[in-house]
Amino acid sequence: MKMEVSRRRILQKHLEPARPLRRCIHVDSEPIINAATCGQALMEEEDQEANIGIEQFYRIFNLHKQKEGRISYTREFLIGLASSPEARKKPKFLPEHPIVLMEARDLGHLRLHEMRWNGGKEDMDEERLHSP
Amino acid sequence: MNNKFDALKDDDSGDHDQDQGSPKDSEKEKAEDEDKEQNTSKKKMVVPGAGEHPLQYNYTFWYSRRTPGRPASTQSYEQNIKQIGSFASVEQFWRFYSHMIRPGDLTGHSDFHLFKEGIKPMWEDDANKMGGKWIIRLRKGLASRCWENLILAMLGEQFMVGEEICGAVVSVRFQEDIISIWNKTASDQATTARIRDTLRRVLNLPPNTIMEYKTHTDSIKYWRTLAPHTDNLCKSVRIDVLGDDESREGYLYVDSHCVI
Repeated sequence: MKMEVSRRRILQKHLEPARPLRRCIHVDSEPIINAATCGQALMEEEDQEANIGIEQFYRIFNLHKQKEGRISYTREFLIGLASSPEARKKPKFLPEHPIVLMEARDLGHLRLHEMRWNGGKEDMDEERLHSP
Repeated sequence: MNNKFDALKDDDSGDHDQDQGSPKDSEKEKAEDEDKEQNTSKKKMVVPGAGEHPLQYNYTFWYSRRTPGRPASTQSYEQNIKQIGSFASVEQFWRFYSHMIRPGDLTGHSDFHLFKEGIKPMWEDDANKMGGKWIIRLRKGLASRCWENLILAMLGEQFMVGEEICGAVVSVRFQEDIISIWNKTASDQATTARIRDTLRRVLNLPPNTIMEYKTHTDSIKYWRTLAPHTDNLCKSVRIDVLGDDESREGYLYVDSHCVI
């Protein structure tokens, strides 16, 4: 009897309820969570149930950055973000210059290239690179 | 809980709100002043906005253009190169990128530079002086797309060479365009080989594409030979040497970055 009781106690101790992903923003969170995933998770949680300050986020984020590997993104992922409203805003500080545009230009060509590339056609044959 | 009680107390003594506000404001002003002071010496670091996708490094966009007809001695390379802005997240990158014309639409003799924040796109910068660059020459019409693929690979940390990458340049020239990627240690062959292989992959280069690696010390020597009498060569000689003679340009712009 005694044995069984103590074993149960141990079991209970180990079975903690699963924590939702957004918990990764807390300081004491598991070190396994990747910084990029954390950022993405935050992005998805845009309704902001977990209301944390920017500073707090970056303090934690930088901790992760040091511990974890590098923040890497694929070309496709980066292009996927190009059309998000945040990415279309005008930068706060933008010098007046002939090469600077007042309105965000259309970045549709990026998607187009992506599709053509994924199509597996050899674009470079048509648009052959310079060869001497 | 304490906060809640304080708030209630404030409500009761309404007028004190103002008084309590003012010291905070002055604190804020003080902080802003400090920021300004920092700005004069060093630009304030940009940070990703809430919910944005942070990048491994912050980067700065630069633009330079050779001004025809101006006497070279009065303008240095450093003066001629203009900062467009710095960013720390993917979203901030796209904001700048979508508000700049594409390199393929540039006219004349101009360059876009995208370097890690704090590294100037010059050989003389501490991060660059022991370094070098891979150079790829492109026929007209390809610059925009290759540039995009190059910088997306750089921002996305696809080169996998630790801290080695310094930045990338696209140079629009008379008959062809050049893209290049700069790294810190020219003598580190494992790194330069890895950069070359990644370049081939991300730019989808045909196997016969010629890729040239050039150390910045070689570039400096090269210019010294052409302009032996100039002490301050790295800063101002480049235009002197070039002049406006387009026929020489084909020969001289071998070096993608140095020519303005």
